Amino acid sequence: MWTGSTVHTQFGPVQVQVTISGGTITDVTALQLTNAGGRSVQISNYAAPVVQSEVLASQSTHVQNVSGATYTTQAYLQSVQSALDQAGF
Amino acid sequence: MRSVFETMGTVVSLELPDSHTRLALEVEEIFRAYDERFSLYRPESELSLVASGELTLPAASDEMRATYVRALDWRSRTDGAFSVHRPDGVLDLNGIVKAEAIEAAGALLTAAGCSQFTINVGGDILSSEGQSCAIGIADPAHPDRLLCAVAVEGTRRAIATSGSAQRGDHIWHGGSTEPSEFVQVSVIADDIVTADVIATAIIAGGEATLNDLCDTCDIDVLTVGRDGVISATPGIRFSAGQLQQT
Repeated sequence: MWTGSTVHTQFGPVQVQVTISGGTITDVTALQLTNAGGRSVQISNYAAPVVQSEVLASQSTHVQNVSGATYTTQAYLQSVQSALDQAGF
Repeated sequence: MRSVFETMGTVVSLELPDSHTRLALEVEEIFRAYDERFSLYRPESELSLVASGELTLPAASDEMRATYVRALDWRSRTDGAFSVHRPDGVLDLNGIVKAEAIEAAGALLTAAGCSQFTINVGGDILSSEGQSCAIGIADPAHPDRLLCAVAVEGTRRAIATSGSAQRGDHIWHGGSTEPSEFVQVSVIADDIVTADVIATAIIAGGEATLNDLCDTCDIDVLTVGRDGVISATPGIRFSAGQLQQT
Protein backbone atom coordinates (compact mmCIF):
# COMPACT_ATOMS: atom_id res chain seq x y z
CA MET A 1 0.00 0.00 0.00
CA TRP A 2 1.49 3.34 -1.04
CA THR A 3 0.38 6.77 0.10
CA GLY A 4 1.01 9.66 -2.23
CA SER A 5 1.99 13.15 -1.23
CA THR A 6 -0.62 15.85 -0.93
CA VAL A 7 -1.13 17.73 -4.16
CA HIS A 8 -2.75 21.14 -4.29
CA THR A 9 -5.21 21.38 -7.13
CA GLN A 10 -7.63 24.07 -8.25
CA PHE A 11 -10.24 22.22 -6.18
CA GLY A 12 -8.12 22.04 -3.01
CA PRO A 13 -5.68 19.50 -1.50
CA VAL A 14 -5.88 15.89 -2.74
CA GLN A 15 -4.05 12.83 -1.47
CA VAL A 16 -4.54 9.22 -2.55
CA GLN A 17 -3.54 5.78 -1.37
CA VAL A 18 -2.83 3.02 -3.91
CA THR A 19 -2.99 -0.69 -3.14
CA ILE A 20 -0.91 -2.95 -5.38
CA SER A 21 -1.32 -6.68 -5.28
CA GLY A 22 0.33 -9.20 -7.61
CA GLY A 23 1.81 -6.40 -9.68
CA THR A 24 -1.48 -4.67 -10.45
CA ILE A 25 -3.32 -1.79 -8.85
CA THR A 26 -6.28 -3.24 -6.97
CA ASP A 27 -7.54 -0.15 -5.23
CA VAL A 28 -7.18 3.60 -5.16
CA THR A 29 -8.56 5.46 -2.16
CA ALA A 30 -8.76 9.19 -1.72
CA LEU A 31 -7.40 9.96 1.76
CA GLN A 32 -7.94 13.64 1.61
CA LEU A 33 -10.91 15.01 -0.22
CA THR A 34 -11.45 18.59 -1.10
CA ASN A 35 -14.25 20.53 0.46
CA ALA A 36 -13.89 24.05 -0.83
CA GLY A 37 -17.50 24.45 -1.89
CA GLY A 38 -20.00 21.87 -3.08
CA ARG A 39 -18.51 21.50 -6.53
CA SER A 40 -15.16 20.08 -5.43
CA VAL A 41 -16.82 17.55 -3.11
CA GLN A 42 -18.86 16.34 -6.06
CA ILE A 43 -15.71 15.80 -8.08
CA SER A 44 -14.72 13.16 -5.53
CA ASN A 45 -18.06 11.38 -5.90
CA TYR A 46 -17.21 8.86 -8.61
CA ALA A 47 -17.99 5.17 -8.45
CA ALA A 48 -14.76 3.18 -8.25
CA PRO A 49 -14.29 -0.60 -8.36
CA VAL A 50 -14.65 -2.16 -4.94
CA VAL A 51 -12.16 -4.65 -3.56
CA GLN A 52 -14.20 -7.70 -2.59
CA SER A 53 -13.32 -7.71 1.09
CA GLU A 54 -14.17 -4.04 1.41
CA VAL A 55 -17.92 -4.46 1.30
CA LEU A 56 -18.66 -8.08 0.59
CA ALA A 57 -18.94 -11.13 2.81
CA SER A 58 -21.49 -9.32 4.90
CA GLN A 59 -24.11 -12.04 4.62
CA SER A 60 -24.19 -12.15 8.37
CA THR A 61 -24.92 -8.45 8.76
CA HIS A 62 -28.31 -7.92 10.27
CA VAL A 63 -30.45 -6.22 7.70
CA GLN A 64 -34.14 -5.41 8.01
CA ASN A 65 -34.81 -4.96 4.31
CA VAL A 66 -33.32 -5.86 0.96
CA SER A 67 -33.02 -3.57 -2.05
CA GLY A 68 -33.03 -5.33 -5.40
CA ALA A 69 -34.33 -4.95 -8.92
CA THR A 70 -38.12 -5.01 -8.77
CA TYR A 71 -39.24 -8.55 -8.26
CA THR A 72 -42.49 -9.99 -9.48
CA THR A 73 -44.91 -11.39 -6.95
CA GLN A 74 -43.66 -14.83 -7.92
CA ALA A 75 -39.94 -13.99 -7.68
CA TYR A 76 -40.58 -12.45 -4.28
CA LEU A 77 -41.16 -15.92 -2.86
CA GLN A 78 -37.53 -16.84 -3.59
CA SER A 79 -36.10 -13.56 -2.29
CA VAL A 80 -34.19 -12.81 0.88
CA GLN A 81 -36.85 -10.17 1.54
CA SER A 82 -39.49 -12.88 1.75
CA ALA A 83 -37.40 -14.71 4.35
CA LEU A 84 -37.02 -11.50 6.37
CA ASP A 85 -40.78 -10.85 6.20
CA GLN A 86 -41.54 -14.34 7.41
CA ALA A 87 -39.12 -13.87 10.26
CA GLY A 88 -41.12 -10.74 11.12
CA PHE A 89 -38.50 -8.05 10.61
CA MET B 1 -45.10 -4.85 13.06
CA ARG B 2 -44.54 -5.88 9.49
CA SER B 3 -47.37 -6.20 7.01
CA VAL B 4 -47.01 -7.63 3.53
CA PHE B 5 -49.37 -7.10 0.61
CA GLU B 6 -49.34 -7.30 -3.16
CA THR B 7 -49.74 -4.32 -5.47
CA MET B 8 -48.52 -3.17 -8.89
CA GLY B 9 -47.43 -6.70 -9.75
CA THR B 10 -45.02 -6.84 -6.83
CA VAL B 11 -44.97 -7.14 -3.05
CA VAL B 12 -44.93 -4.41 -0.40
CA SER B 13 -43.25 -5.00 2.97
CA LEU B 14 -44.36 -2.30 5.38
CA GLU B 15 -42.78 -1.91 8.82
CA LEU B 16 -44.79 0.18 11.29
CA PRO B 17 -44.62 0.65 15.05
CA ASP B 18 -47.31 -1.35 16.88
CA SER B 19 -48.99 1.93 17.77
CA HIS B 20 -49.59 2.76 14.09
CA THR B 21 -50.51 -0.55 12.46
CA ARG B 22 -53.97 0.78 11.56
CA LEU B 23 -52.22 2.99 8.95
CA ALA B 24 -51.30 -0.08 6.90
CA LEU B 25 -54.75 -0.07 5.28
CA GLU B 26 -54.41 3.59 4.31
CA VAL B 27 -51.00 2.89 2.76
CA GLU B 28 -52.46 -0.02 0.82
CA GLU B 29 -55.21 2.28 -0.44
CA ILE B 30 -52.61 4.75 -1.79
CA PHE B 31 -50.94 2.04 -3.86
CA ARG B 32 -54.30 0.76 -5.07
CA ALA B 33 -55.26 4.27 -6.25
CA TYR B 34 -51.94 4.81 -8.10
CA ASP B 35 -52.22 1.41 -9.73
CA GLU B 36 -55.79 2.08 -10.82
CA ARG B 37 -54.83 5.35 -12.48
CA PHE B 38 -51.47 4.45 -14.03
CA SER B 39 -51.41 0.72 -14.79
CA LEU B 40 -51.00 -0.12 -18.46
CA TYR B 41 -52.17 -3.64 -17.57
CA ARG B 42 -55.63 -2.21 -16.86
CA PRO B 43 -57.27 -1.23 -20.17
CA GLU B 44 -59.66 1.08 -18.29
CA SER B 45 -56.95 2.99 -16.40
CA GLU B 46 -56.52 6.67 -17.14
CA LEU B 47 -52.99 6.11 -18.46
CA SER B 48 -54.25 3.36 -20.79
CA LEU B 49 -56.80 5.83 -22.18
CA VAL B 50 -54.07 8.44 -22.70
CA ALA B 51 -51.74 5.86 -24.28
CA SER B 52 -54.41 4.74 -26.73
CA GLY B 53 -55.28 8.31 -27.65
CA GLU B 54 -58.83 8.15 -26.31
CA LEU B 55 -57.95 10.80 -23.74
CA THR B 56 -55.66 13.76 -24.45
CA LEU B 57 -53.22 15.00 -21.82
CA PRO B 58 -54.81 18.47 -21.57
CA ALA B 59 -58.08 16.73 -20.71
CA ALA B 60 -56.44 14.33 -18.25
CA SER B 61 -56.53 14.69 -14.46
CA ASP B 62 -54.20 17.06 -12.60
CA GLU B 63 -52.49 14.01 -11.07
CA MET B 64 -51.75 12.53 -14.50
CA ARG B 65 -50.34 15.77 -15.84
CA ALA B 66 -48.26 16.41 -12.71
CA THR B 67 -46.66 12.97 -13.00
CA TYR B 68 -46.08 13.48 -16.71
CA VAL B 69 -44.39 16.84 -16.15
CA ARG B 70 -42.22 15.38 -13.41
CA ALA B 71 -41.19 12.49 -15.67
CA LEU B 72 -40.34 14.91 -18.50
CA ASP B 73 -38.24 16.96 -16.09
CA TRP B 74 -36.28 13.83 -15.17
CA ARG B 75 -35.85 13.01 -18.84
CA SER B 76 -34.05 16.31 -19.36
CA ARG B 77 -32.10 16.07 -16.10
CA THR B 78 -30.78 12.66 -17.20
CA ASP B 79 -30.11 13.84 -20.75
CA GLY B 80 -32.72 11.47 -22.10
CA ALA B 81 -31.47 8.34 -20.29
CA PHE B 82 -34.72 8.22 -18.32
CA SER B 83 -37.47 7.73 -20.84
CA VAL B 84 -41.21 8.31 -20.63
CA HIS B 85 -42.06 6.35 -23.76
CA ARG B 86 -41.70 2.72 -24.66
CA PRO B 87 -39.75 1.99 -27.85
CA ASP B 88 -43.11 1.58 -29.61
CA GLY B 89 -43.96 5.15 -28.69
CA VAL B 90 -46.54 4.39 -26.01
CA LEU B 91 -46.49 6.76 -23.05
CA ASP B 92 -45.24 4.73 -20.08
CA LEU B 93 -44.88 6.41 -16.69
CA ASN B 94 -44.08 3.22 -14.80
CA GLY B 95 -40.51 4.37 -14.27
CA ILE B 96 -41.76 7.00 -11.83
CA VAL B 97 -45.25 5.97 -10.67
CA LYS B 98 -44.17 3.34 -8.14
CA ALA B 99 -41.72 5.78 -6.55
CA GLU B 100 -44.38 8.49 -6.44
CA ALA B 101 -46.72 6.08 -4.67
CA ILE B 102 -44.00 5.26 -2.12
CA GLU B 103 -43.38 8.97 -1.63
CA ALA B 104 -47.12 9.58 -1.08
CA ALA B 105 -47.30 6.68 1.39
CA GLY B 106 -44.32 8.10 3.31
CA ALA B 107 -45.92 11.55 3.41
CA LEU B 108 -49.14 10.04 4.75
CA LEU B 109 -47.30 8.19 7.52
CA THR B 110 -45.28 11.26 8.49
CA ALA B 111 -48.41 13.44 8.52
CA ALA B 112 -50.14 10.87 10.72
CA GLY B 113 -47.39 11.22 13.30
CA CYS B 114 -45.67 7.93 12.54
CA SER B 115 -41.98 8.69 13.03
CA GLN B 116 -40.52 5.20 12.49
CA PHE B 117 -41.33 3.24 9.36
CA THR B 118 -39.89 1.52 6.32
CA ILE B 119 -41.77 0.94 3.07
CA ASN B 120 -40.21 -1.61 0.74
CA VAL B 121 -41.95 -1.95 -2.61
CA GLY B 122 -40.37 -4.59 -4.79
CA GLY B 123 -36.89 -3.67 -3.53
CA ASP B 124 -37.26 0.13 -3.51
CA ILE B 125 -37.17 1.38 0.07
CA LEU B 126 -38.12 4.58 1.89
CA SER B 127 -37.49 4.94 5.62
CA SER B 128 -38.60 7.61 8.06
CA GLU B 129 -36.28 10.56 8.52
CA GLY B 130 -33.59 10.17 11.15
CA GLN B 131 -33.90 6.42 11.27
CA SER B 132 -30.80 4.32 10.62
CA CYS B 133 -31.40 1.16 8.58
CA ALA B 134 -29.02 -1.54 7.40
CA ILE B 135 -30.22 -2.48 3.93
CA GLY B 136 -29.04 -5.60 2.14
CA ILE B 137 -28.29 -5.31 -1.58
CA ALA B 138 -29.55 -8.31 -3.51
CA ASP B 139 -27.04 -10.33 -5.50
CA PRO B 140 -28.28 -10.11 -9.12
CA ALA B 141 -26.81 -13.55 -9.89
CA HIS B 142 -28.27 -15.27 -6.81
CA PRO B 143 -31.67 -13.99 -5.67
CA ASP B 144 -31.36 -15.88 -2.40
CA ARG B 145 -28.11 -14.10 -1.49
CA LEU B 146 -26.91 -10.62 -0.65
CA LEU B 147 -24.00 -8.72 -2.15
CA CYS B 148 -23.43 -6.47 0.82
CA ALA B 149 -25.19 -4.22 3.29
CA VAL B 150 -25.37 -0.44 3.17
CA ALA B 151 -26.73 2.16 5.56
CA VAL B 152 -29.69 4.38 4.84
CA GLU B 153 -29.69 7.06 7.51
CA GLY B 154 -30.13 10.71 8.36
CA THR B 155 -31.61 12.63 5.46
CA ARG B 156 -30.59 9.83 3.06
CA ARG B 157 -33.92 8.08 3.46
CA ALA B 158 -34.30 6.26 0.17
CA ILE B 159 -32.67 3.46 -1.80
CA ALA B 160 -33.76 2.04 -5.14
CA THR B 161 -32.28 -0.72 -7.26
CA SER B 162 -32.79 -1.28 -10.97
CA GLY B 163 -31.56 -4.05 -13.16
CA SER B 164 -32.24 -6.70 -15.69
CA ALA B 165 -31.98 -9.65 -13.29
CA GLN B 166 -35.61 -10.02 -12.32
CA ARG B 167 -37.90 -8.72 -15.01
CA GLY B 168 -35.82 -9.19 -18.11
CA ASP B 169 -34.44 -6.16 -19.89
CA HIS B 170 -37.36 -3.95 -19.01
CA ILE B 171 -35.44 -0.70 -19.22
CA TRP B 172 -35.32 1.05 -22.56
CA HIS B 173 -31.90 2.16 -23.75
CA GLY B 174 -33.00 5.06 -25.89
CA GLY B 175 -34.20 2.70 -28.59
CA SER B 176 -31.06 0.56 -28.44
CA THR B 177 -31.33 -3.18 -28.00
CA GLU B 178 -27.76 -3.45 -26.75
CA PRO B 179 -27.55 -4.93 -23.26
CA SER B 180 -26.78 -2.44 -20.51
CA GLU B 181 -23.21 -2.10 -19.19
CA PHE B 182 -24.66 -2.74 -15.74
CA VAL B 183 -26.78 -5.66 -14.60
CA GLN B 184 -27.74 -3.88 -11.40
CA VAL B 185 -27.60 -0.32 -10.08
CA SER B 186 -28.52 0.81 -6.55
CA VAL B 187 -28.93 4.49 -5.71
CA ILE B 188 -29.22 6.10 -2.28
CA ALA B 189 -30.76 9.59 -2.17
CA ASP B 190 -32.81 11.86 0.07
CA ASP B 191 -36.03 10.96 -1.74
CA ILE B 192 -37.31 7.82 -3.38
CA VAL B 193 -38.23 9.37 -6.75
CA THR B 194 -34.67 10.63 -7.24
CA ALA B 195 -33.22 7.25 -6.21
CA ASP B 196 -35.53 5.24 -8.45
CA VAL B 197 -35.34 7.43 -11.53
CA ILE B 198 -31.54 7.71 -11.37
CA ALA B 199 -31.10 3.95 -10.89
CA THR B 200 -33.19 3.40 -14.02
CA ALA B 201 -31.32 6.11 -15.94
CA ILE B 202 -27.89 4.66 -15.10
CA ILE B 203 -28.92 1.18 -16.27
CA ALA B 204 -30.11 2.78 -19.52
CA GLY B 205 -27.30 5.27 -20.03
CA GLY B 206 -24.34 3.28 -18.71
CA GLU B 207 -21.11 4.73 -17.40
CA ALA B 208 -21.48 8.15 -19.00
CA THR B 209 -24.79 8.68 -17.21
CA LEU B 210 -23.34 7.26 -13.98
CA ASN B 211 -20.46 9.74 -13.97
CA ASP B 212 -22.67 12.63 -14.98
CA LEU B 213 -25.31 12.03 -12.29
CA CYS B 214 -22.76 11.31 -9.53
CA ASP B 215 -21.32 14.68 -10.41
CA THR B 216 -24.55 16.68 -10.49
CA CYS B 217 -26.81 14.95 -7.94
CA ASP B 218 -26.53 14.34 -4.23
CA ILE B 219 -26.50 10.53 -4.42
CA ASP B 220 -24.51 7.42 -3.62
CA VAL B 221 -24.35 4.58 -6.12
CA LEU B 222 -23.38 0.91 -6.19
CA THR B 223 -23.19 -0.77 -9.58
CA VAL B 224 -22.71 -4.36 -10.71
CA GLY B 225 -21.24 -4.55 -14.20
CA ARG B 226 -21.99 -7.15 -16.84
CA ASP B 227 -18.47 -8.46 -16.13
CA GLY B 228 -19.32 -8.85 -12.42
CA VAL B 229 -17.23 -5.88 -11.27
CA ILE B 230 -18.81 -4.01 -8.37
CA SER B 231 -18.22 -0.27 -8.13
CA ALA B 232 -19.30 2.16 -5.43
CA THR B 233 -19.12 5.83 -4.58
CA PRO B 234 -17.15 6.84 -1.45
CA GLY B 235 -20.26 7.15 0.75
CA ILE B 236 -21.30 3.56 0.09
CA ARG B 237 -17.78 2.23 0.59
CA PHE B 238 -17.69 3.99 3.93
CA SER B 239 -21.08 2.81 5.16
CA ALA B 240 -20.56 -0.77 3.97
CA GLY B 241 -17.23 -0.87 5.75
CA GLN B 242 -18.78 0.46 8.96
CA LEU B 243 -21.55 -2.13 8.87
CA GLN B 244 -19.06 -4.92 8.32
CA GLN B 245 -17.36 -4.06 11.58
CA THR B 246 -20.55 -4.26 13.62
